Amino acid sequence: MKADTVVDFDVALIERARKGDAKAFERLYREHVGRVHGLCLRMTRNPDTAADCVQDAFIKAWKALPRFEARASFSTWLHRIAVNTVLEKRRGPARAEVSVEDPGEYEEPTMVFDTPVEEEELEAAIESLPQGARDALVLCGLYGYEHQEAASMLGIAVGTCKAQLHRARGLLKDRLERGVR
Amino acid sequence: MTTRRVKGIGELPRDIPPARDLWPAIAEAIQADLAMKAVPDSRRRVGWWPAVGLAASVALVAVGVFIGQNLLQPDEPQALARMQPLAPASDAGTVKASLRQAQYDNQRKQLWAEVQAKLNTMPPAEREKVGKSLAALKQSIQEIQDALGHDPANALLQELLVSTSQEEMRVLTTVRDSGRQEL
Amino acid sequence: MRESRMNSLWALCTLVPLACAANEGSVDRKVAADAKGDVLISNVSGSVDVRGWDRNEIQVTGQVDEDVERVDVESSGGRTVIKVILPKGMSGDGDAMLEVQVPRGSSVEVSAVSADISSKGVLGTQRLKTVSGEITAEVSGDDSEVRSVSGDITVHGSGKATSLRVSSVSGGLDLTNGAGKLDVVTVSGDARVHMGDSSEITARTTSGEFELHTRLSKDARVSIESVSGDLTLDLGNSTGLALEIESFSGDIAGCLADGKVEQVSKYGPGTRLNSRTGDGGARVRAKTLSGDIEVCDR
Repeated sequence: MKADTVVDFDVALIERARKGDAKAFERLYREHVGRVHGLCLRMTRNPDTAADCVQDAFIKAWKALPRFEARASFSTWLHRIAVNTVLEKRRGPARAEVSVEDPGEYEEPTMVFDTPVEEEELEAAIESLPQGARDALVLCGLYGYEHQEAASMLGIAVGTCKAQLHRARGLLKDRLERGVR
Repeated sequence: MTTRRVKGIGELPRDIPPARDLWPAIAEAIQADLAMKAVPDSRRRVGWWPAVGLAASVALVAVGVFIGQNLLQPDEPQALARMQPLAPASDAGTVKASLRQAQYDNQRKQLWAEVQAKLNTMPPAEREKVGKSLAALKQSIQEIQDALGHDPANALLQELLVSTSQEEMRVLTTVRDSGRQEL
Repeated sequence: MRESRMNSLWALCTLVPLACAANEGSVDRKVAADAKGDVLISNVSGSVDVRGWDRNEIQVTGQVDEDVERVDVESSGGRTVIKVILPKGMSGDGDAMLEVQVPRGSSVEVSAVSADISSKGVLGTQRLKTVSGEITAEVSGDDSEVRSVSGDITVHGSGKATSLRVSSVSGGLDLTNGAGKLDVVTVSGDARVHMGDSSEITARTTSGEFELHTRLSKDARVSIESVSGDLTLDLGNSTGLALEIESFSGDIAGCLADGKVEQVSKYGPGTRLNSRTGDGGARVRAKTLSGDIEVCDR
C-alpha cells in the first residue's frame, strides 16, 4: 500500500495531467511503467507485445483521465486498463471455458515453496503455464490483487479465478518438482 | 544469468522496466490528442518533430560519450561488445552532452584526415578497395541516423548506430596504423 | 649486388652470426627451438609460408630481393624472432619470400604489410595479420586470430572446438571446418562460414554478405549484426532453437519448423521473426538495418 505522501504526489500529478499537462503525465508514466510492464510481460510472454500493450494502456489512461475518480487507486486503475489491453490484444475467439475441478475446501495458496527455487526457473515455470492459470497467478499471487478484483479485471467469475489459482499451484508443483504450499 | 533463489512467488520482481523507453510514442499520441482538442487549424501543434530531432541528436551525443572516452585499440572486440547503447540524455545534461558530441566529432574528423593521408600512400588497387569499405561505413552511419530521426526510440537502430560508429573508429584506427611493423 | 655491399654483408655476418643472408638473394638459416615455443615473424612485402614439422628446430629459407637489407633471426628463452629488415627511409618494397619451418606445437605470430601469409601444420595459437596480403591458413590452436585490411582470408579449421577471431575490412572471408567459438568482423568483404558444432558465434558486417552453415550445440549463442549486408543462416540443431530475427527495412524469409514473420510494432517499421523449437536452448539473434535475412533450421 502506498504511503500517504506518495498518494498525494500522484493526486497532484493526476490533477495537472487532467488539465492537459503532458509532463505531469510523463512523471506518472515513469513512476508506474515498471509495474505495468511487468504485468503485461508476464501475461503476454512476449517483450514486443508487452511494449505495445504498455503504450496502448498509457494512451488509453491519458484519454480516460477525466473519468478517473481521484480517491481510487491510480495504480489499480492503470493495471485494470493494462489487463484489458492485454485481453483485447489476444487473438482468436473468446477464451475457451476451462473445466477445472472444484477445489472444494478452498485454502488461499500462499505460493511458498518447500525449498527455495531459482528465480529464473520460477519465471520460466510461470511463463509455461496455460493462459488462464497464468493470468490468475500473476494478478493474485504476484501483484497481490484480491480474487474479486482480479476476477473483475479478467472478466471472469470469482469462483473461476480461485479455481485457476488452484490449478496454477498444482501445475507449478509439477513443473518445479517440489512442494508448493 | 541470475542464480538468486526465492522462497515464494511474492519474491519475484513486480517492477520490470521495458528494454527501451516507450514514452516517445505515448507522447506523440498525447500531442495528437491535445492537438485535436485544441483549435484544429493552423495553430495545431506540430512541435513533436523538433522534439524528435532533439532526441535523436542527444542520443548521438550519448553514443559519442562512450566512443570518445573509450577509443579502443583495434584488437579489443570483447570490450567493444560490452558497450551498450544509452537512452537519450536528460534535458539537464544537454549542454554537457553537446560538448562531448563536439569532442567525438573532432576526434572522428582528425582520424579521417589521418586515414586519408594513409590512403594516399597505398597502391591504387588497395586504396580503392579500402576506400570503398570506409565509404560503406560512413554511408551506413548516415542511413541509421536518418532512420533514427524518424524513430528515435527504436532500440534496434540505437544498437546499430552504436556498434557501427564503434566499428568505424576501429577501422579508421586500423587503417591509420596499418603497415607499422610491430616486432 | 655491388661488391662493396657484398663485403659489408659478409662483415655483418661475421659480427652478428644469427643475422645474415647466407648468399646473395637467398636465405638459409636454422636455429634450435622449443617444441612449444613462440615464433614471431615480420615481413613487409613478399610472402611468409609457415610449416609445422616434427623437429625442435626453426629453419628459415627463401629468396630476398636486392632491396632487402637483411633477415634477422634471433632466438632466446623459447622465443624466436624473424624479421625482414629494409633500409631506413626506403619507400619501395623489398620483397622477401620466406618459408619458415617451425615445431608443430609452436605459437606463431606473423605481421605483414603486403606480404601474403600461409600456414600449415601448426598446432599452437596463431596470430596472423596483414594489410593487403592474402592469408591462407590451417588453424587448430585455441585463441587464434587472423586479420587483414584488404587481403582475402581463407581459414581451414581442424574440426575440433577452438576459439577463433577473424576480421577484415574489405577482404573476403572463407572459413571451413571450424568448430567451437568464432568471432567474425567484416566491413564490406563477404564472409562464408562453414562450421561443425559451434557453441558461440558473433558476427558483424556493415555491407558485406554473411553466410553461415553450422550445427549448433545445445546451449549455443549466436549473435549476428549487419547494416546493409544480407545474411544467410543455415542452422541445424536437434535439441532446440530460439530465433530472434529483426530487420528495420530488410526482408526476412526462411524455411523454419516454426515461426512467422510479423511486424514489430504498429508504432513503427520493422519486421521480426521469433521462433522456438524444442527446448529453445540454442539462441540465435540476428539484426539488420536494411540487409535481407534468410534463415533455415532444417
